[in-house]
Amino acid sequence: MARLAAALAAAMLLAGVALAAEQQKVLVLLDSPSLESSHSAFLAGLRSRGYALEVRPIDDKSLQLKSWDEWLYDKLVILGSSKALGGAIDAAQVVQFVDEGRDVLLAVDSDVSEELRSLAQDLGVDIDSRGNAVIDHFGYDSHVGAQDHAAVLADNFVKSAAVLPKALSTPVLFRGIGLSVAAESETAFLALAGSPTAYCGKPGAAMTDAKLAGPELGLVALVQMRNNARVAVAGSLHMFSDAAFQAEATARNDRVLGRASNEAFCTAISKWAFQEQGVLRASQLSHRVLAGAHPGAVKPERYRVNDDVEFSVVIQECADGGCKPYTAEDVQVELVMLDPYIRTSLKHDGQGRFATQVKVPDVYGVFKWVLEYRRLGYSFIELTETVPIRPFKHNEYERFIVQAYPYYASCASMMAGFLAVGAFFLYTKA
Amino acid sequence: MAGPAETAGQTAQHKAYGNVLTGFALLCICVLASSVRLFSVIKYESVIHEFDPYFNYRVTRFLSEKGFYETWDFFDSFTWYPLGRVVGGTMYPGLIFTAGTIWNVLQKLNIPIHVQEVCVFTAPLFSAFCAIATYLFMKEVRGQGAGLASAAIIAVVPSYISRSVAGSYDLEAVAIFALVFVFYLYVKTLNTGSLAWATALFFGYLYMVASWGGYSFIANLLPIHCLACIVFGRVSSRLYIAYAPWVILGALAAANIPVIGFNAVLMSEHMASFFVFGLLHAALAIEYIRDMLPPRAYSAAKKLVLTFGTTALAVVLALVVSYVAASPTFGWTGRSLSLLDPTYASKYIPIIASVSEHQPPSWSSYFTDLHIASLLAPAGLLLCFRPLTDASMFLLLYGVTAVYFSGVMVRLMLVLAPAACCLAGLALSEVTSYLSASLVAAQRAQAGAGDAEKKAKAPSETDGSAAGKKDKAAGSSAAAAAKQAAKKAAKKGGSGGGPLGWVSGPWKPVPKDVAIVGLVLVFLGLSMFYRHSVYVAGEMYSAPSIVLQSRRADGGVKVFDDFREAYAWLSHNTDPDAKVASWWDYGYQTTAMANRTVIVDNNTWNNTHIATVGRAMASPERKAWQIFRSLDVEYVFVVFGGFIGYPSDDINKFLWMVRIGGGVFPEIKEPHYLGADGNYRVDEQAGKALVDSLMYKLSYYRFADCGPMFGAQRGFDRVRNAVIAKQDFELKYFEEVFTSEHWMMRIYRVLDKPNRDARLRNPRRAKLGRRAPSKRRQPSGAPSK
Amino acid sequence: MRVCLAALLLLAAIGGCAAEADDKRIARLQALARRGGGLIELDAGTFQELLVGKSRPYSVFIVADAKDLRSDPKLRLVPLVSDFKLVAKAFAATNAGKPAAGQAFFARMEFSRAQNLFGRMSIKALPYLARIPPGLAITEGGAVSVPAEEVLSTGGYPWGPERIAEFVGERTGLAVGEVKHAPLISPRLMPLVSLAVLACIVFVGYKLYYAPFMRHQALYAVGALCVYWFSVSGGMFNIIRGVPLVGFDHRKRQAMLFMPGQGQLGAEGFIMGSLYTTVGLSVAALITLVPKIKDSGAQRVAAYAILLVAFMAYRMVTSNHVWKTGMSPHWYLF
Repeated sequence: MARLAAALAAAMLLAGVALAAEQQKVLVLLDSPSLESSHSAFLAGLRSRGYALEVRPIDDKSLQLKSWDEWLYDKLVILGSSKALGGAIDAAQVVQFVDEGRDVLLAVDSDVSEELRSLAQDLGVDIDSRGNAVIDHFGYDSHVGAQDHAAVLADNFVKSAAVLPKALSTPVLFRGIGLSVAAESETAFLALAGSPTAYCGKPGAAMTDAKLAGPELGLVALVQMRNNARVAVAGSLHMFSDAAFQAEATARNDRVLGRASNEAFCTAISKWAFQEQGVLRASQLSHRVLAGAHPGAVKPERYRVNDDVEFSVVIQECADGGCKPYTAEDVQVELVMLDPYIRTSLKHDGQGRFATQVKVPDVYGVFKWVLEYRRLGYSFIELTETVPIRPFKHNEYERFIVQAYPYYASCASMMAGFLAVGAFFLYTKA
Repeated sequence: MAGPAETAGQTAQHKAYGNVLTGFALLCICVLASSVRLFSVIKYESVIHEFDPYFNYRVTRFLSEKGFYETWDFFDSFTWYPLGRVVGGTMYPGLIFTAGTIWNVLQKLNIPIHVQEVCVFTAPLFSAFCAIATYLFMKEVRGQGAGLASAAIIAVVPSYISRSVAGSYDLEAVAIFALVFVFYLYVKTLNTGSLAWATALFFGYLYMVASWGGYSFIANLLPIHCLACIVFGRVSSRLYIAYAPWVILGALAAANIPVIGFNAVLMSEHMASFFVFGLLHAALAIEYIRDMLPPRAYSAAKKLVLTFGTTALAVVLALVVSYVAASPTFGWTGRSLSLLDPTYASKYIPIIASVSEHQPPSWSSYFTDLHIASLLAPAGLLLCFRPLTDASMFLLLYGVTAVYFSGVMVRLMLVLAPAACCLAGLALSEVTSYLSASLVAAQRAQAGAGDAEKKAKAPSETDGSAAGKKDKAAGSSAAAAAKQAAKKAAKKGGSGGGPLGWVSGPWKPVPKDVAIVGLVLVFLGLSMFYRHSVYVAGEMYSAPSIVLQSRRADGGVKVFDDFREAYAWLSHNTDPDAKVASWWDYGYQTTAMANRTVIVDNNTWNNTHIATVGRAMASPERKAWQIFRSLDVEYVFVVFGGFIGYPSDDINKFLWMVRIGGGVFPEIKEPHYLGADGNYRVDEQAGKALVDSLMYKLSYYRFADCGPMFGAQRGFDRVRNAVIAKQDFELKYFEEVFTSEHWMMRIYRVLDKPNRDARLRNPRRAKLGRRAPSKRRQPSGAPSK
Repeated sequence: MRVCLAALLLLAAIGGCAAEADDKRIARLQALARRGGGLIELDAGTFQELLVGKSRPYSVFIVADAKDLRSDPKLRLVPLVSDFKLVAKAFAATNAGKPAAGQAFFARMEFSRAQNLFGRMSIKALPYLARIPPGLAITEGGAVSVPAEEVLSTGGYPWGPERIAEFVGERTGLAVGEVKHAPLISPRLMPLVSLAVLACIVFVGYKLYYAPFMRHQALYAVGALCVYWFSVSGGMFNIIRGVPLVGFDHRKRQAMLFMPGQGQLGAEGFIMGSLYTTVGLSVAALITLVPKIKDSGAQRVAAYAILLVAFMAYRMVTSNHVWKTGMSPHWYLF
């Protein structure tokens, strides 16, 4: 129940985001003032999506994220590198910012400060040690990365329509540090991974074995917290820059692959990070009795065993400020008491209403509907609704059973016989 | 109490006197019976007592809101989460329906009283009824005097007080009354042989069956009595009318109570009645045949029947044995088995053995609980034989069986109490009547007039008005007793010695001085009994274990109200359908007072579920966290006495949790929780598993830090009288949310899964350097200057 | 059998020439064991004979016993020893005439007789059942350090003959053979016997039913009184809790009949029960016997005597009760 409330609340929040995006305040922290001009396209893109940006140097003494326990900003963008967080902001406060449901986009480069690394680690992404860079001796970009092979062309995108609605034709030009994500992490995944020949190491130095290489080498990682707050961590500042946006991707044999898709990719991950994509919104959870003790009862206090009930919920997918019905065949609901007694997948009509009809088990107890939906890139849905199932009342059993008619007959005949004998005994003169 | 000598007028007058006196005495007894049970209300407050009463109270509240039908089918989703409990089908509705009826009647009379008050005062009310029932019972057995005496004793007998003080709203509160009343009806039917009384017996038995599981005692006692009657050739139509309808209708009545259902014909506890039923018919048939046949033919027939009878008996026995052997636990419920084989429960059923009231009593508890009744009862047993009537034989059998069973389980002392009181009352009335009668005889001798009969009736006025209430009882009983004495004398005193030289012919009074001394001694003994009972009622049995008191050094009273404090906290600060886990002792209280869902409660019907909780409490923190989360538990509380020295806390109950848990989950082994020396201890030598267990952590979390508050050594446990083994530790998966004033209740929240997957194992992680220190901010959150 | 051969080879390896000496020794010991009904009673002499030496061509199983602990119901020493003896018998029976018969001996050491042995083997707790392996060197008067795996773990006590036999088997690799409990009656006869018993019961019941003395109420009166006396003296408590009749103070100096605090001792309970019954009996006597005494002087004396007895018994009960429970009732009047 509490979870349900939380989920709905989150959904409302998202709805608010979608409808009233213009009020959203974003704090942009820049490692150096020059970044504002060099990354103007990216920032302009954010502004054009209706965010009120406040651009500040990262080490500004007067920085302040919350005042009197009021968060001053809805989103946080850190284009950081070696400088420490200034003012009142520190890693712990940013983590709290996320824990209270707000979103962060963190981009670093090779000389990342330990503070930002620990921040990323607390958020579930591990940045490789300072000074390393992603190197690919086969997949480097021959314009920018010719001499140290440290500017690579990465096209190992995550396969999720929620993150990248439309496939990108050309690779992304990436110059920066590598990331990694814990294998059993339920929250973090890689949006952009290294090519099989990419690894993370000191540029120019020979390496025999790289700790971080191939598909495990992350370039951009996305994190979806359990409270549906989102974090994007990119290993490169350069990929957000105007230069990268304009760059032509040229493979090592000077084969021109066309305009690098940095702009599209960066926009996509920023949209995802700021809850503009891949947001699922569940609402109108309902269940009603079709046949049983109280047919037609909607959200009854309790079922009776063997009732026929219908469970339904409306799920919508919100993207770019608008919500449209979600369509998927793999949404499942369970009826659980210690173990799931019923697990069935929900059918949806095109309007986003997911429903199923089940016969509740012939077991009494405190059951609960559980709908848990976790898909890569989509926000989590966790709904639970408790409904006890009661046994028959004493007057709900059938009164006369066909099989038992012989016994009724025998009883009746016995009584009649007793009456007869009694009458005979009493009223005959011996 | 008339003699042939009197004229009708005098007779009527004496009758009137006697009845008025009796009625008045009975009234006083009733007032005494219910007022002596009000100590708990006066010393504490009008509150429901310890554990089970809270369940009854909760159901009664439910009844007062939803009505009888809903209660009959009450499915409780607040206990045994997530299994739930069919309360309607697993409870004895008698008590609850009684209180509900009383409440409804009061409402109809426009007396706006809360149902709790009704519940609190049900027990005293019914103890008064019980006194009346006892009077009627003994009046049937041996006349008014015995009746009054036993009523006066049972009114204040401590063993009964212990279960029926105001507020202990437990089944026994009405069940004992029902028990005695059923006995009265049975004996009444036995004496009158009227079908009307047999019907009344059925209804009384129905009420008894609906009230208490102890009905199976009656279900076995009546057959025993019937059997005895058959064996001693006392078979009569009166016996048949008393017994036969009861067997059939009684079985039907029992079968109609959901909690008993088909057990009424399946369980071995009920077999005896049917068996004796058949035997009774056989005996009647034999008598009929004897009357019908000439002697020789009869003797022939007898041999024939006997041979066939024995074979039939053998077959029946074989069948019964085979059935019993086939059925689970030999068709006996564990509790009854532990009556027949006293060592059964302690060996096989920890849940039964863990309950303190299932322990056998030692000699001292007899004197504490029955006092003078336990001393006079043997005399009563003997007096039942002179003369031995059907009724007195019933009393005899009741006394003997009850005293045997009470030896097995201390709780059955409650069944013994009425028997002991009746026997004692019998002895008391006989001795007082004999002494006072002979006193009067002495006076008459001086007056030089009168015969035995005159002696006999005089005391009913003289003593009655003279001595205290007790002697009224005795006095008015003197007449009856003396009359019997005369009767006995007529037939040469049934069993008392043959016609020897020193034996006088008729009944002979003792000299005056002896009589006076004797009466004084009796009076002293009784006043001791009353002193003892009233003291026990006031000091020992009126504490409602939910509110504790202790005397301060300055003589004032210190009240520990932690339980209600904590339950109130739960009800005000947690989500209405939060699940609360605790040891089963506190389940009823939690559902009733905090109104929250519990995992297990005092109705220990599902051993596995209880074992799961026991296992969680006995497991290390992480494991316990997983178990609790799998049960959707949001709050866990433990009862901890180490702070103020409250001995019956969870640490002391912990070994039972381990045993019960280990009974189902073998990975929990008791020895791991014991110290190196095999003792259960919490200091340095404590077992490792104990120190790691959740129970230890939840009990002693932050305990050491508060230790110096009472000037003792750091981390000194006042119950175990030891410095605890592990003093400073942190909780990872639980969060302390509430600790009551005296630390008796400690409530913890079971933490959710973390929001972020930080610090997971990641082989590719590059080591992190020095973390930046967290910043200091101004209260506003602005950077500090 | 192969294992036995292996053991024999081992023996040969240990001391070739000592073999015939060993044989004599084994013969002596077997005679000893036969005399002891399969068990060798350990004392200084037999210990010397049986165990002392750098090594032995056989292994010895020792069960520890203590005379003054046999009464302890939880320890179950008596059944343990009898089971052990059963196993010894079974072993002798199966391996009779085989060389294996000489490769394991069963001995019992009783505390009062072999106290120092307990010390030397450092036995701290009973029950104790261990095997002295052949290779264990035992010097005269030196400590005997039995390796842990040679001691039968007290887990799952009482062991029962099967467990002991299994232990013997797994330690020595010698076949013990199945242990023969002495069955009361063979299962084939069971139905007959039961029927016979039933018939007897019926017959006896019939006889009793018509026996004149069964009509005597005194019989039942006494019976009822006995039940009452048994119960109020907490007899069931004694049975269930298995409390001893008489307790000892920790130095086992003098017996104590009464123990303070909760619980009770057997004798204590019975004494109190008797006191209870005494009061009742005297009251009954006052009513039933006294009225029948013809001579009023004698009657007075008798009555006073009875009253006195009752009063004293009552006094004793109350005082003991106060001493036991420490409750001091007071009037609520003023």
